[in-house]
Amino acid sequence: MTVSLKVRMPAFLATPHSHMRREFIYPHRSVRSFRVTVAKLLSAVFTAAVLCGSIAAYNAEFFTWHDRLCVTLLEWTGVPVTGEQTIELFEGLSTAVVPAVPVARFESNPLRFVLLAVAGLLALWAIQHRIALSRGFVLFLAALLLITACVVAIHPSSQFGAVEFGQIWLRGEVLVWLLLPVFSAAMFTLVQPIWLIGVTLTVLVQVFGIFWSAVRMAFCLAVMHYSGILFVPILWFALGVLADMIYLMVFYSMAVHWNASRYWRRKAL
Amino acid sequence: MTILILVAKGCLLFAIAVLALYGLRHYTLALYRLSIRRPRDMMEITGYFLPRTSVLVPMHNEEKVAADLLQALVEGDYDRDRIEILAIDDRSEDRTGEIISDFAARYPVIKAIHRRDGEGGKAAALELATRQASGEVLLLFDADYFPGRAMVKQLTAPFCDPEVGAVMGRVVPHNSGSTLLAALLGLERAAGYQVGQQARYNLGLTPQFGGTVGGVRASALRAVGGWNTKSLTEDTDLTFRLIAKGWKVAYVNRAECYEEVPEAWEVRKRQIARWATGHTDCLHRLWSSVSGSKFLSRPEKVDALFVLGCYLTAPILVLGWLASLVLFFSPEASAVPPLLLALAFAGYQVFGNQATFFELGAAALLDGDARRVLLIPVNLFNFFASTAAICGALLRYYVGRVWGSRGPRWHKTKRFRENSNGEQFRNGNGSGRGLFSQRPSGAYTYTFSTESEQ
Amino acid sequence: MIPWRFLIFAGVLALILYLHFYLAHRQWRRLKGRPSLEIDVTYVRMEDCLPQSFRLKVKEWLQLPALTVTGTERTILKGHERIRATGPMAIGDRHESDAIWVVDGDFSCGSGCEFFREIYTRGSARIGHGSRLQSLAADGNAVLEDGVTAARWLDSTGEMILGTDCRVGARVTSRTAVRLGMGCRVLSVFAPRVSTPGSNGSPSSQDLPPPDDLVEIPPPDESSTAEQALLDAGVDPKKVVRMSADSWHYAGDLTPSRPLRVGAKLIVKGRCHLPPRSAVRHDLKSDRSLHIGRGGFCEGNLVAGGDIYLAPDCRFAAVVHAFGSLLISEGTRGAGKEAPVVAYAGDGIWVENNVVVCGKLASPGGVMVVDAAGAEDWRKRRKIQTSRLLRV
Repeated sequence: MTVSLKVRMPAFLATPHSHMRREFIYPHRSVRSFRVTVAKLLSAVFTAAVLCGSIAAYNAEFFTWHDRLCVTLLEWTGVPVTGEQTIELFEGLSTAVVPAVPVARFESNPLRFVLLAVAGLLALWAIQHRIALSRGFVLFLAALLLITACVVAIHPSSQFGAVEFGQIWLRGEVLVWLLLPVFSAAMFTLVQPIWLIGVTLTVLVQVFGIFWSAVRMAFCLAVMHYSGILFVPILWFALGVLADMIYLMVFYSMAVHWNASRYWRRKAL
Repeated sequence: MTILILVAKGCLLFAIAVLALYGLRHYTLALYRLSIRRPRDMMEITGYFLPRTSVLVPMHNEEKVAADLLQALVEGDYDRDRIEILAIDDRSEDRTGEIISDFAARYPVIKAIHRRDGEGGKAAALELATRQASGEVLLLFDADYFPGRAMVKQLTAPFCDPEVGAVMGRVVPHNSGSTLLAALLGLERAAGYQVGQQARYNLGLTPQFGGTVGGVRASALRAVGGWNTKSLTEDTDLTFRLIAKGWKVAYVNRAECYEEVPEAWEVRKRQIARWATGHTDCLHRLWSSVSGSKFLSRPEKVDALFVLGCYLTAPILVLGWLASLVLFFSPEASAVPPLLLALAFAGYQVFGNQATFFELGAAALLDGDARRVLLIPVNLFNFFASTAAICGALLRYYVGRVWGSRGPRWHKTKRFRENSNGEQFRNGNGSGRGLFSQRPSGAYTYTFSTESEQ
Repeated sequence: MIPWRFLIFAGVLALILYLHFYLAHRQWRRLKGRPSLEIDVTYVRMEDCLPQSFRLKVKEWLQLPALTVTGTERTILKGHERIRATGPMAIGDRHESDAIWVVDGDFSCGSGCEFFREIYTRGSARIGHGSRLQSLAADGNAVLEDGVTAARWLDSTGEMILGTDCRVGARVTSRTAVRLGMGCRVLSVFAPRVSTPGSNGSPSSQDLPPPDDLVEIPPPDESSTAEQALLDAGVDPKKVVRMSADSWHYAGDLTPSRPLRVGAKLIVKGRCHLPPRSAVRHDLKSDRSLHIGRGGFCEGNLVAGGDIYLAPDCRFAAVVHAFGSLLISEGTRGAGKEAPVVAYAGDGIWVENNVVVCGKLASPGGVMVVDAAGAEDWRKRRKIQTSRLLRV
C-alpha cells in the first residue's frame, strides 16, 4: 500500500529519522499538496481500462442482469410484464432486452390524468414551500410536469410505450457505465492518499451504478404503468443521469472524508 | 417540428461544447492544485516589505459589524507610521457614522470620512476615499470581515514585485455553522480560493481580485482610470482593466480572513444576482480589451474570458436541459445515434456538472476539513438554486440592455451578526466554541502540539 | 384497488434516495452551530516562533511534580513525554536519548549522539560531530560540529555556529548571528547577521558607491541625448513604456552593454542581465532570469520569474525574490538601512563563501553553502556566461 501524503521534508534530509519525535514542520493548509505518483497514475489507468473493457466486452451479460433485476422488481410490485423486447442501443454495442409493460394512456381516462397532474404540481409546490434551498430544482420539475401535461393533452401521439422508454434509459445508463470508471479512477484512485481504498471505491461505484440503474428503471416503468408518461420526463430528469451524479458525489464525499480525517491524524505524529 | 428539433440539436451541441470546456477547466485546476509541488506563496517575505499603506473600509449601515472590523484593524501588527485606516461612513442611516467617529477619536491611525451625498454604491465610496488616501498600497475590507493581526503585512508583501497591481487574500466564512446554506457556501468558498485561485496563480493565470481582503497599488489604480462607479462588481472590473494594461494579480492563500456569508436564501439570491449581472456586464465591456491586450499570453486571455463568462454557464445549462427534453419527446429519440456523440453528451450531463463538486472535495482534502465534505451531495440543491437565481438576474440584465434601462442597482448584503463591539471575536464565543484562540495579549505563539509554519 | 406493493417499492426507492443524503443530513445535525475552519486571528509572523513556543511549554512543564529526583536531575512525565531537567551537562560519544532535555547551564555532547526529542539549554550548547537531534534551543551560544543533522529547528540567543556539512530540516535562528559552515544545508536561516566562511562578519567591508555617470533607465527626460545614451548602451528606448506614474515596462530582453541606473520601478518582459557596477535604485522585476553583474548596487526589490544571479561583490538592501533559484556570489552583502533584508527562492539558494546577509535566507528547496566549484556548477547548468557580468 502506498501512502503518499506530501510531507514537506526537504529532499536534502534524506537520511532516515525514524525515531525522531517530529520529522518535519507540518505544512499550513495554504501550502499543502498531494503527490500524484506514477504508480497511482498507472493504477488509475489500469483500473479504468479494466472496468471500461469489461463493460464493453460483456455488455450483453450486463444488460441481461440489468433486465432480470428489473423484471423481478416489476413482478414483485405487481406490474404485469407482458414480454421482453430486444432493442438496439449504439453501433458497436450488443442489443439489449427490456421488459414490456402496459402503459396508461391519456385518452383512456383524461380526468384521472388531470387529477394526477394537479396532485403532482401541488406536491412539488409543497416541497418548494417547505425547503427554500430546493426551490430552483423543484420549480424546474414543476414546469417540466406542466409542459408534459400540455404536450400530452395537445398531442396525444407524443406518448410512447415502455420499450421506447427502456431504450432511452439504457442508452443513457450504458454511457454512464462506460464513462464512470474513467472519472471515478481520477477521483478515487489518482488523488486519494490510500491507493487500495481508491481502487475499491472505483469498483464499488461501478457495481452500485448498475444495480441502482435497474431499480430506478423498474420504478419508472411502474409509474408509467399507472400514470402514463405524465411523470416520466421529471423522473427521467431527476432519476436519470442526475441520480448517477448524486451517488458519484456521495462516494466521492465519503472518500474525501476518510482521507481528510487521515491527513489530519498525521498531524498528531 | 423539424425546425424545432434542429434548433434543439444546435442548442444542445452548443451547451455541450461550452460546458464541457468549463468542466475540463475545473478538473484541470483541481487536479493541478492537488499536485502542485510548491504552491506559490509569499509568507517568507512577509514583514520585510512594508510600503506606506492605506486601508479603505467602506461602510453603509454597518452598525452591527463596524466596531469589530475597526478594532481588528487597529490591533494589527503593521508599523503605525506606515499605515492609515480610512473608515468611510457611506450615507449610513444607523449608528455607523457615530462608531467610526468614536474610533477615529480614540485612534489617530483611523481617519473618518463621512459621505452624505453623491452617487450610491461601494465603488463611489472607494473613489472618494482613494482621493484622500496617501498610501502606496490601498487595502480593502468590507465591513463584515475580520482580519487577523498579520493580515496587512501578508497582503502588502506581494507588492514587492513591481508588476503586481492587485493582491487577493483568502476568504473563510465564520458563520458556516449557522445554516445549511452558509455551510454549503463555506464549501464553495474553500473550492474557489484554495483550489481555483491558488491553481490559477501557480499556472501564471489571473487570480481574481475580490474587492475585499485584498489590495491594489495606488499608482496602478490611477493608471487604469480609478474605480468604475458604474459597475456592480467594481472588483472584477478593476481586475480585468489592470491585467489588460500589463499588471498582475497575486494571490496569498495564507492571508485568511473571516467573512460572513448569507444565511438566508433570499439574501444569497440577491448577492449572486448582483455578481452575475456585474460580472456579465464586465464581460461585455472588457472582453475586447482583454482579448486584444498585448500584455497577456494566450492562456491568460482564454482563462480571463472563462472567468468573465462564468455566469453565462447557468442559462446555457438550462438551455441544454430544455433542448434535451425537446429531443426526448421527439420521434428521433428512437434512432440509433453514434456512440461517440452520445458519450460526449453523457459526459457533459454527468461529469461536466460534477466538475465543480470535484473542486469542493479537493479543497476539503487540502484543508483537512473532513467534517463538512460530507455535505457535498446536498450542494446540488444550492447549485440548482444558484442556477435559477443567475438565470433570473441575467434575464433582467439583458431585458434592461434591450430596453435601455439602467440595470439593477447595488444592494447591500444583509448582515447576520449582532453588534458585539469587537468582543465576540476576541473571546471566541461569537460563532461557536473554540473558533478563536484565546491567548493572552502579547504571547503570539503557536501551540506546541499544532505547529504549522511556512 | 390500492397498489400496495408499488407503494412499498416507491417507499423503498425514496429510502434509498434519502440514504444518498443520509450522511450529509447526519453530518449537518452534528455541525450545526459549530465553528467553521479555524483561523488563528492572533497570529503574527515571528521567525523564531517555534523555539519561543517551546520555551514557554518548558516553563509550564517544569512546574509539574517530578517523577524521580536524583541529585540535581529531575524526571517529569507529561503524557507520553519524559522531561529530564538537569544542571550543566556533558555527555560522551554515541549517547542516545528519547527524553526532552532541559539543562540549567551549559550542555555538550560527544560525537555520534542521537537526541530524538528537543533540547533546551539555559547556557551554551555544543553538539559533537555527526550527531543527530530533533531541535535545539539555547539561551547562550550554540556550536554544531561538522556533520550534525537537526530534523527541525535550531535557535540560540547568542551566536550560532554550524560546522561543515550540517543539515537542518527547518529554520536556524539567532538573536545575534549565524555562521554557516561550508556544505551546510538548511531550510531557512534568520539572524541580525548571517555569514558564510571567509567573511569577517562585516556587513559592509567592501562598499564602493556606484559610479555617477551611469546610463539611466527609464530615461530621465524625453530628450534625444537620454535616448541616445540608452541606444549606445544597447537598450532600445522605444521598448521602454510607462505603465503608471512610477512604473515602467521594458518589452523584451534587457541586456545592456554598459552599466545602467534603474531610476524607477521597472518590469522587464524578458531576461534582464545588468553589467557590472549597475545601480538599481528602485524595484526591478524580470519575468525570466535576472543577473546583476559584479559590484551591482541594489536598493530596490529584485524579483524574477526565473533564476537570480548576484555576481560577486553585489549589495542588496531589500527583498530578493526568485521563483526559480538564486546564487549569491562571494563578497555579496545584504543589509537594509532600517530593516532586515530577505532573500527567497522557490527552488533553492546557493550561497558562496564570504557572504553576509543581515536578515533572512529562505527557500523550500534549501539554502546551501557552496564553494567556488559549486557556484560554477550552478552557473554552468544555467548556461550563464560570466565574462560580461564579472568584467568591471
